[in-house]
Amino acid sequence: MSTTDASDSAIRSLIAELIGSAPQAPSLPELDRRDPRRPRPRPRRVRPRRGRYRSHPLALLGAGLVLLVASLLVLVASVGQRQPVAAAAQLRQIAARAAGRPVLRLGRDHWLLTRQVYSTSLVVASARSHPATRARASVIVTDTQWSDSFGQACISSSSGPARFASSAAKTSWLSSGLSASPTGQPVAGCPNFVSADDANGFAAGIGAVDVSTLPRSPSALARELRTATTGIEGLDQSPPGGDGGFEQAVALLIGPLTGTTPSFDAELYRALALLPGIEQLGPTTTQSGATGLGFSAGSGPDRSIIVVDPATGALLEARNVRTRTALYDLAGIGQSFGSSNSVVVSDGFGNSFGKVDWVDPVGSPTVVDTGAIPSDLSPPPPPTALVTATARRGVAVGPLNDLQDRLAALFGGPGGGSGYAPAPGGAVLSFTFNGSRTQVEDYAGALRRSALIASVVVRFGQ
Amino acid sequence: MAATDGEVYRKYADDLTRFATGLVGPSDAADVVSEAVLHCLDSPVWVTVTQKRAYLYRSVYNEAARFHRATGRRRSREQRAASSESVDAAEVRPEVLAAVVRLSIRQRAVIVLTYWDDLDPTAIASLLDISDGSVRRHLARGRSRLKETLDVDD
Repeated sequence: MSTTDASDSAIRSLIAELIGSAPQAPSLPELDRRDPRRPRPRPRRVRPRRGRYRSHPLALLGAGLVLLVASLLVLVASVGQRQPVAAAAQLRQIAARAAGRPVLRLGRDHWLLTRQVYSTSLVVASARSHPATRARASVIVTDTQWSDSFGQACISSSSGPARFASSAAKTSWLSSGLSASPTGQPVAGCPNFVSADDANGFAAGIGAVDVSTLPRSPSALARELRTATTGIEGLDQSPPGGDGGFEQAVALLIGPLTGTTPSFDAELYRALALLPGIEQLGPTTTQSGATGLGFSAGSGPDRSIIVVDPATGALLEARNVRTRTALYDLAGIGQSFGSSNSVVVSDGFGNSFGKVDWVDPVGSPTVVDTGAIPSDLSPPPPPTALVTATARRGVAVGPLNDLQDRLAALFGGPGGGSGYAPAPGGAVLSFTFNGSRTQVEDYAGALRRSALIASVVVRFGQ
Repeated sequence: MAATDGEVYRKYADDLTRFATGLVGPSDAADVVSEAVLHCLDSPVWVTVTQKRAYLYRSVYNEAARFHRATGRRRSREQRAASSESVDAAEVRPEVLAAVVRLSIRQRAVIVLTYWDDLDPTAIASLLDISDGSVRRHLARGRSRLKETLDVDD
């Protein structure tokens, strides 16, 4: 064999090894969400600029000086930003480890079983105006949740005893007529959140979030998280705050989720790396004693923090974040301590409402049959169908509401849903039907014929 | 009937991802392809393009070059700043990455299309919209650098 052949062979092997490491091609569902009839901007006609500008030695010197000054300014500015840059690097490396996670498929009678433990602060609302006498306690809650692929869920929530930072806080708590130990534990049930928007709703539903419509491109995902245009109402409705999409990303890390792909976690961490203001905190120990890498968004004592296992990308703990489960549990926790209205979770009704001090998603999600759910919970059967419609780009909520009213008058309204969530490819509407299959087909057919709607997906449950 | 954007993308997605892997490595290939395709399809001239495959390849090449320029210095700072508890991106042998990183983006493109896709210089020139001579020049320089790294004598 000649030396040229040998070198060609070595190069060919090297390139084969490099290409052999290629990741899966990114699936770009946003392309299918695009409206094919959308008129594209007309190509611009570029006129040749021959002879229009003449370079002058002094002009070149001036431009060079401007470039030099700009480079120095960028260099100076970058000195103070090393920490966020390192955070992005760490997150990209974690993303590489998080790829290839097995995907759990949910069949018709399957439920996603998830568990989490969280700690939340309770404050007596009537004492809020008197900080010195504020009755404050923290409670650790253990939740077991079953979620199906139609947005339905059952939950069993068990609160521990109230813990007080001082005897004054305890006295104030007890004098408000509240007990220190919860009664009637666990609080369990299958809330009647049949609508997809409720199920996806951050502020109400506890069902699994279907992420199959999210973009696979990390930069597009980061953009949608940052601008609250994911098309998933629950994520988009959470208060934007100042963390630039971090809270939305954390909500996805906490889950539960359906419609994931093996690369979803990797894409999410890569999107996190692109969000502004992410800082790394180095090795961080969780409440359960595990150690991982900490990351935060923003600054100050109220900032949200996540602790991640760098070897697997698993979320070990999230701190100072809002969770849908805590929001749902709120009323039940209050009643457990003897009050229906006087107890609120966290300090106030604003953006901190529903925040937990920390949440630990215990273990990994598993798939179970309906029979595995305690029979006293009476899990609901699957709905007749889940219909998801994507409006044409730029169509506002008003005409879409009118359309839904007309269709409801013609075919009967859906059992739930009609959420409106803006997304770059067009607003997303979700409906859950409990009526006949014919009603679903008529309704979906009319949606498809509407000039306002770009695409309709129907998933039958029964 | 004309293929939709999604159909066109899916037809070439795997080839484009492999091409991008040769240009920027496995960690960033998906990002580069995503950005390139989205920019490409948002372009006002996309509907008038007849050679979609070549256009997409050039778009991935341009995105890789932009990515290389924009992130090259930042990446090296990131690697230095990343503390010792960081995890390694163990996706491909470091020697392979070290060999490829010595090539310019254009040399990588020409090398990948030659040794992976088995295209001749004329076909590569047509795909990347550069001259035949330029392809041969980049191929020769790229081969020479790789041979130095691989320690293979001609």
